[in-house]
Amino acid sequence: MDRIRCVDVSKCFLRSNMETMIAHRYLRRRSPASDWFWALEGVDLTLSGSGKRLGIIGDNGSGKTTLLRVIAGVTQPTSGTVVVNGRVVPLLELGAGMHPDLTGRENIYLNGILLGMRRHEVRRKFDAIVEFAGVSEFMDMPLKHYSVGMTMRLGFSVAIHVDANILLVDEAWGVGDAGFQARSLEQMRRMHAQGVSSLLVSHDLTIIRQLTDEVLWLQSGRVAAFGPTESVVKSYLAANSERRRS
Amino acid sequence: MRQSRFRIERSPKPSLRWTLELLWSLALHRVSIRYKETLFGFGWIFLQPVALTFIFTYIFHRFAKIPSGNTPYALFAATGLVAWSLTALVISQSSSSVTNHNVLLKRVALPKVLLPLSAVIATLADLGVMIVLLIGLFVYYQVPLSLTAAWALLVFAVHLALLIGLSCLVSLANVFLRDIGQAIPFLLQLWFFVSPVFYPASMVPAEFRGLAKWNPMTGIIEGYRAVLFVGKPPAWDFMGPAVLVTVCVLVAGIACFRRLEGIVADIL
Repeated sequence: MDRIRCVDVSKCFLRSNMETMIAHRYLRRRSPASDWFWALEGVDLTLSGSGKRLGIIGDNGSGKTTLLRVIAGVTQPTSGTVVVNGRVVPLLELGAGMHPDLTGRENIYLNGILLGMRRHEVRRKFDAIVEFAGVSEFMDMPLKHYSVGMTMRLGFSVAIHVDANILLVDEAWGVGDAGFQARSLEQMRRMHAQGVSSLLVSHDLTIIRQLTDEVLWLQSGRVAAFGPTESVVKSYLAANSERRRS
Repeated sequence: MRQSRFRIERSPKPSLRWTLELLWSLALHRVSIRYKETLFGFGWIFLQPVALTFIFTYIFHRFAKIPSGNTPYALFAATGLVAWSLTALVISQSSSSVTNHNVLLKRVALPKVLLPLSAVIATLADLGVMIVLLIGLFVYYQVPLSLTAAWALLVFAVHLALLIGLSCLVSLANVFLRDIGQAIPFLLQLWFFVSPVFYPASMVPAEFRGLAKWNPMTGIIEGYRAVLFVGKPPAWDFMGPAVLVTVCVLVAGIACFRRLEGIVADIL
């Protein structure tokens, strides 16, 4: 079964809100103007089977995050087909759905439900979530008094307790201490072993090598290469050193 | 040339129960955030209608001698004020309901219509508090509640539908044109004066009456008054246009949301 299939997916951004709205309605009638910015152009991508791990690499602004957002359903493509089978959990920016004035407890419920859990599911997993995040003493404290690391840990912990089929990960390891990073890497591996597929965006090629089987290399919104991790990473590195020399 | 045709297939679809739970959570947390770390908490909801009822009774009844029929003026004005406060609160709360959640909307896929809806539901908590005020006035003036009061539920249903439609339109419009957020306090003030909050609709000059009945708040406020203490069903020459406008607003609000919610996250 295809977990994710993207066929000829393109996404265009315009300068102003009104133009975006007009373009959205009438794009098929107007000819493309020079100020249209295509963040994605004709991207094809397939992730099939369970426990599959796909990485996305590319320079800043190459469309990696846009592609993740299209797959997450946060935004719609301008054209193309997107098929997603299974519960998608985004780890795009941890703690994004959290509110600083709500307590840790309230945030766990709100964020858990936002990510697709039912209330009784959150209640059942509550202790496990708190324990993984390591913030049990601070449950009734507003989130604004948490440290950045604590907020991130709580966000990560809620997200991994959703019974996901597909994880979308965007540079989630930036924060958190070494111990937490090691635990989250281990958690990712455990989830892969349980059949969770993942899509990982990272600039850290070491992590890409560790956590992916296949890699999609994006360059200015187009697919530069798609294949087994090692060969794509090699050609990406080769292209980068080539560019540095010239 | 690329065509603007896209197809999205997702399974499993979000269940209705989950959607309702999410709506409830969003509404609940809105209420708890709004009055967190305030000294008076829900007392603030009381303050405005109570103060305005006193002021209106003094200025418009004692001073300007605005008639209120057989009903004590304070009760007459308070009914209008409670209905109006609900409208004003919903609109001012929901206008920023989508724009305030920009961080969330860029990261998590959720039915975006839940954001204005949760603002509407959160405001119903305020309504509950205000109704206590109204009951207090009924008891104080010993006005018997007539049997027609059951009609109030129907008027409320129209009122609620109008508010849902308006909050969808306003919250979405504010995404595309931030002017809306600036204009709303002003527009609400204008709307307040053309709605029969502190005067009866029968006082509207004849030449404006045709226009006034197309203001849905005319039909709704007069509807509440008619059923609560006049003891008559809502007057249909006011209520009819109000229902018609409400249906149009609701349909327009939902249609706009369906059409545009896919690009909201791009322009926030």
